[in-house]
Amino acid sequence: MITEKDVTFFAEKCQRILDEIGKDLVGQQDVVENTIIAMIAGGNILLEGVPGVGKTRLVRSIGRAFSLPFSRIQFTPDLMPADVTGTNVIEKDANGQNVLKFQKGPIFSNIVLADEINRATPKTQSALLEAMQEHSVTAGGHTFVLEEPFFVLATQNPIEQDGTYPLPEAQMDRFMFKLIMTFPSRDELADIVTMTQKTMQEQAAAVLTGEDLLVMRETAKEIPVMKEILDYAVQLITASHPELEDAGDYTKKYVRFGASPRAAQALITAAKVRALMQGRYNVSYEDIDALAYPVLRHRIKPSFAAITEKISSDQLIRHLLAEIGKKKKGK
Amino acid sequence: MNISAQLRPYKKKLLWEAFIKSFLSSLTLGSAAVAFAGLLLRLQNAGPLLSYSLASGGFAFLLSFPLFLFLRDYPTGKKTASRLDSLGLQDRVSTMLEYQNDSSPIAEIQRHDTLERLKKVSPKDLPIRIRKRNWIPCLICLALAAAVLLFGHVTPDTGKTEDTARLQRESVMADMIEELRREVEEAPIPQPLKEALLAVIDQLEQDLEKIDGQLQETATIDAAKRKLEQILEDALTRKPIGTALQQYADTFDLGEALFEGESQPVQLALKASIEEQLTEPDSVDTYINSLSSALSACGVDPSDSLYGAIETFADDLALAEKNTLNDVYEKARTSIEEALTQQAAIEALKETIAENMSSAKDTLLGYHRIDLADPDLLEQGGDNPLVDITTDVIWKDGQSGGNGAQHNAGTGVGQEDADSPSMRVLVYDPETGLVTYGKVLSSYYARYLADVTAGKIPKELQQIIDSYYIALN
Repeated sequence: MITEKDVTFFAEKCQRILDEIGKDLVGQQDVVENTIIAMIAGGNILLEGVPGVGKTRLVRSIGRAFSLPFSRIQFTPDLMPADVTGTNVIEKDANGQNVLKFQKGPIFSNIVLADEINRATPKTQSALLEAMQEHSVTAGGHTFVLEEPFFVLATQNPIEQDGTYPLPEAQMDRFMFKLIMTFPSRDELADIVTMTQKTMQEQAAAVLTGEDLLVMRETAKEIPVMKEILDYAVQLITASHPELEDAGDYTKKYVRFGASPRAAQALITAAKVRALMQGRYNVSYEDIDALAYPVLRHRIKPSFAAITEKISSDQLIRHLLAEIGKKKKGK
Repeated sequence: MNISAQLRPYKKKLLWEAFIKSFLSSLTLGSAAVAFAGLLLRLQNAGPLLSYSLASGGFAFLLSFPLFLFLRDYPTGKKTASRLDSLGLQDRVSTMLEYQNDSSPIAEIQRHDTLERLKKVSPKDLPIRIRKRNWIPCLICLALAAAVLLFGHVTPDTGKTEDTARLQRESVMADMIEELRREVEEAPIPQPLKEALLAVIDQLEQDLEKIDGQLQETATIDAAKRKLEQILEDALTRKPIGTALQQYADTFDLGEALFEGESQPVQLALKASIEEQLTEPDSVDTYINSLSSALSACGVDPSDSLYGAIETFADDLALAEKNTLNDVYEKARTSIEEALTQQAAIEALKETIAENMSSAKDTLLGYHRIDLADPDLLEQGGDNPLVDITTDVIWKDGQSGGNGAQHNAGTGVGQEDADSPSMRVLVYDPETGLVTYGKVLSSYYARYLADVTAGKIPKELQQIIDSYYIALN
């Protein structure tokens, strides 16, 4: 049963994590905040940004702040699934007999950084599917449960698409958020340069254990959500499907596939965490509106018309929010 | 924890807003109903426009106001919570309301947090929000209703059509005035009579310039016509005869001569009148009255047969040439002949004026007479467009096949003539005294206006009578 103490603990820890990560990363407040939201909510994150904007540094800093085992996999075209999940190797037992023993791969960690995930082949990318969704790995006929908390933080580069393999929809859907790391402003860049002149080593201190994180997750789950807000989130998802009645003309023209039910789950779960982080004990429409972008931008597939007219996913989401918002006000 | 009690002060504030919104919405609906009803009544010419329109508007307002207030705008707990949330409380109040029966710790914490924040919000901070969509339609509908009520009596024809019609009417009236003047000036009648007639015509011209409207114009012409006829009637019955005979009022011999002649009743009457006049030479009116009474006593209708009597009198005077008063009789004969000439001129003028003004009035009313001299036209029966006009024509008694005159009933089929059964004849019979509405409407309306001016007709009846005349017109 959640108590006021749990709520206070949650708010304090969140603030401390933000402070610690702030020591290693300049700017990118939204990205940092959303990363923490996803991690507390138990979701995986896809970070997208041009090289050098601090994707890997953010993940490493988070690993330190959360005081959790951290492993990094550099995805390359020749990376094999076994390189991710692990493989059976022949070992001699105490009797000198050759036996097969499962050698765990880098996936067996609490925080996994899948760097440049789109450079690996779909076969290797798919090796992450089970781990991301079920938090388990099956190899050699055995299923190994991964230790909680478990997160995959993947990065990808939006440019240099030669020799890359776009993530399949099924894989994309398993990321709770897709966060875009933008190029820093002039002042932020100056701060970054100044900071890294002293040391390249991350400075974030551990403020949270895995157990703390699980407690915080349970606390967030208790946050009440009004029925209207729940309906609003659901309507947002259904309105993104061009084949459904809820969809407007804009969606029918510019959206090829809408968001999956996982999006609705992610939206509400993340909204609860966001509410608590902001010192609220209830979810508001604002939470849904703010989180719609990271939750939906990789789940809504633009149509050919949208691509030719250079309408981005974020524009589609903005339009959806405006459309649903009007209906909400109409009520 | 009684959440409703916590929200009550805010609810009270919002109740004012609900009241205003409902009032505006009901006013919008009421105004729309006034405009709609007014327009409908105007197009249908059904009932008094103002009172019916206002009644329908009032009904719509009274019916819709409670519906709007209690079914749409009343600040329920949920609405109050939503409005409070919009003041930066981020859905806290709405959530609290929804989870008010939840006893879980997080719900308790949420309630506590919300109430703490609510303490910082005063009911004064809650603005009364009246949106454009509340008052703009209201203003539009009010303006529409006002326009319909204000211009309700304006003819629905286009301005161009109305202008053309008005110009045509003005032309008809100008022609009529000019013709009347010419006829009066050319008529061999005494100058004072001419001046009196011209004064009435001048006044008529001025009156027609001041007014606009077919009905008022015809009513004014009717009134002027009656004045002119009255002046001429007076002239016919009094002045020429009176003046002529008055010259011999002091000649006793005239009476003697008359007495000695053929004792026709009229002559006796004239003699008696002259004798009476001798006793009161200054009282012309008394003289004329006694003359009229005497003539009536003799069974002579003064309005129709007076001239005949005077002619006989003149002839008798001519026969009395052998008498000793020969010279006097000759003068009397000449004077009376002159008087008779004037009588004839006045009578002709009276007819001409009546004909002229009636014709102008008929034209103004769009009334067309059927040319009875064109039987071929009438034989065309129902195929003839003119026959439609004969819906107002009265059948001559004896030809109708019924008892007295009757209307054609608009079928365009006339009554068969007894002598030629195949021929359909339409006859307007002035002797029956039955006339078309077109002919009498303006005189009725003139009488009505005179009564209105005299304050004889209550105001509440005036609108009904106006509508009646408009409908007839």
